Amino acid sequence: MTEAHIDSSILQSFHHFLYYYQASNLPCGVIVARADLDKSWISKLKEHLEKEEPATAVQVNYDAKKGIIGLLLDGCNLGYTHFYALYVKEFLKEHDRLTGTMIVGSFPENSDDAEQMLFHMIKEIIDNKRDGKEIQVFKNPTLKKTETSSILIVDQDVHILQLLKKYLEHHTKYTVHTATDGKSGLDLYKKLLPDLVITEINLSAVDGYQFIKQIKNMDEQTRGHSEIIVLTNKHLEEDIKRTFEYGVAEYMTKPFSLIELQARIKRLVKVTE
Amino acid sequence: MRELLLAYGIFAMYYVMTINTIYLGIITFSFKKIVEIIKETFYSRYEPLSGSKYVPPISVLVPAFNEELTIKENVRSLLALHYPTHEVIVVNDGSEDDTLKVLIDEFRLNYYKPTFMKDTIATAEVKGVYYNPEYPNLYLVDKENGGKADSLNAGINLSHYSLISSIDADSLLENDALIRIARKYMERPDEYVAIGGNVRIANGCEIANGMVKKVQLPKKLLPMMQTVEYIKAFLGGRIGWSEINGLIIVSGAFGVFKKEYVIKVGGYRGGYPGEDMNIIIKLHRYMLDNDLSYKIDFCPDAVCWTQAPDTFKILGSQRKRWGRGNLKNMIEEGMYMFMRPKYKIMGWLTIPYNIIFETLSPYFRITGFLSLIGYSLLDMTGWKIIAVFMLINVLYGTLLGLGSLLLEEMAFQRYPRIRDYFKMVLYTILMFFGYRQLGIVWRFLGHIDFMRKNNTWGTMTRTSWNEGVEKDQAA
Repeated sequence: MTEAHIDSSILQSFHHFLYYYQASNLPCGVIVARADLDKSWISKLKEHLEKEEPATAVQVNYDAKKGIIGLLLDGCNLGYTHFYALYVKEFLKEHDRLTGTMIVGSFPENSDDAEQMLFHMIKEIIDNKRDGKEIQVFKNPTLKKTETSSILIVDQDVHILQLLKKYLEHHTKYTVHTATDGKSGLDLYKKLLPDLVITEINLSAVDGYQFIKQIKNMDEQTRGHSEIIVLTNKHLEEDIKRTFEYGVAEYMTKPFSLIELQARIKRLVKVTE
Repeated sequence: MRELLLAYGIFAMYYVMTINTIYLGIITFSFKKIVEIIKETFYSRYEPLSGSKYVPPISVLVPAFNEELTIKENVRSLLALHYPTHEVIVVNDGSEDDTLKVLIDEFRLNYYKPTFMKDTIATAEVKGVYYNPEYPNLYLVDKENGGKADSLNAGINLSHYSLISSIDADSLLENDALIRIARKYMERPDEYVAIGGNVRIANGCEIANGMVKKVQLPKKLLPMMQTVEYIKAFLGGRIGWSEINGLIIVSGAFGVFKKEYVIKVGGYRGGYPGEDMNIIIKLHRYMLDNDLSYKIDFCPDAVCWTQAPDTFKILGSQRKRWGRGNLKNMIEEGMYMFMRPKYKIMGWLTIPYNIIFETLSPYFRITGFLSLIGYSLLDMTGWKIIAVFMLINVLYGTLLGLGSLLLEEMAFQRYPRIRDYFKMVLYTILMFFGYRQLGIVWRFLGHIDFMRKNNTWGTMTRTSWNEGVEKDQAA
């Protein structure tokens, strides 16, 4: 990925706002468009928008170098953002300032990471050489599986984490990531969207059941899918029953055999190239 | 007159020395037992045990009164305890704040009419039970205000398992606290009726996600005093008392009980503080009356972290409450067991020690101190004797405090820095210059409250567990 190359003033000026929306889990809409503007045009655009939709708080930033305008709408869902974009389009077209496509997106509808969403939107605008002047809805590329497959292992016991990481990285093509509690496990999961999760049930901060459930919820939202193997100290029937109800693929108890674990992993995901 | 004052003063000095000597005996037992405890915990594997089907299930009872700030994290961390089968029963004791709502929102609980609840023990009216199948081991009982004991009784009425654990809503249990007590219980399941956990002071520690991340000593004076005080009471005292089966209290903050016997002794007694000591005395009495073989134990490696009061006002109200509860327990239960051979160690040692050297201590100490002052005013030449006595008492007390710190260092080493150790030693000595005396005055004031039939619980303000974390983020 060419993440490092994209550096736009829009990203910088919206950074704090997006961080705020993300942290307080409030919705916000983002519109990005290729346009040819200057200071006076921007203030005219602002005036126009304020007249049409006075109730909406909007931030505008124009990246003169790349010729991209970004708008950040407070508290707007995707439907409204799209509606709002029509006004922007109307204005830009009327004055013949629109030079390319427009992309609209909304946090958290389109992405669970507001900043990444903006980043990918700008990237798409730059990469998109076609000059069809349509409004597109942002499709989250991070929801597609990344090229390098990964495994996430969550366990309180660092020795087990070390052992499994070494063993699996040696015997499979996967990169192995580890976390020691449910909460950091979830954070890692959001970032990685791994192919396989191996988890203990006895976790702290977020317990194993909540961890599995939230993964399943996330999968549903993003239409992704991760196989889950439970590797646990818990030997009780109720736990086995409950975890399978939650949709895990395998249940293994400690002490465990690496050979067996590897065999079960093989059954679930493609292990080699 | 002068001789009389001196004689009484010296008598009071001997009284203090006797306390210390008995304490020395107890701490000797503690040292004897700590070796055992170190071995036990060293050779036990708690993680595998925490998923074993042979471990008995436990109902965790959490009485909550105005705990909206901390309750969410605490319930989360209780649900995440590493234990094979446990249920968490939060009892909202008619809170005036949003405790109930916070929990209902957080866990999306649904209301159920409490018709199915047994009324094994009479309690204030239960308004409803809240439950969500997504959290199959969490229950929330909403009831009219009736005090902590009443809430525990309501929890017992709903509980499904034969072991119950009482936990303060403002305390944080370590992940393995419950399984450590259960391991102890499984050694002799037919004999154990109650096992207490170790209470440590969380002030100053780094806390995140309902867990103590980094153990540090408190920065403020009063919590620091209480830290060494708790170490002395729990490690120096309770380990020793439990060794001779003369433990008189299992801390209300964290303990595990056999439900059957708690019900047999009529549940927790309401209306007065000190219900934690009361239930233990009643259990002793019941078991000895019925000639049943039993044991009440203390499990120092099962740790519960609690917020200590950090102002004089709140600490004072807590200590007055303790004094009041202690007096009530001694009048209500203790008197019947005092020096009765039937009650063995309890009758011969624990109860007499508590009555003579704990409950009555403010009177001996305060009058003794006053008579020494009176004597010094009349005759300045006798100060040397007094000074020597006082010095001996301070040294004796310090020695015992150091012994307790040694126990801590031998078995647990929770405070890893060398600096911390010296700080604790320093405060062990400082305790004798003001703090102890204040404690005695508070206990006396508690007795006065008792006489005036003042029966309020007093205040305890809580701060959110997240406070430390938020500060970190701001920095």
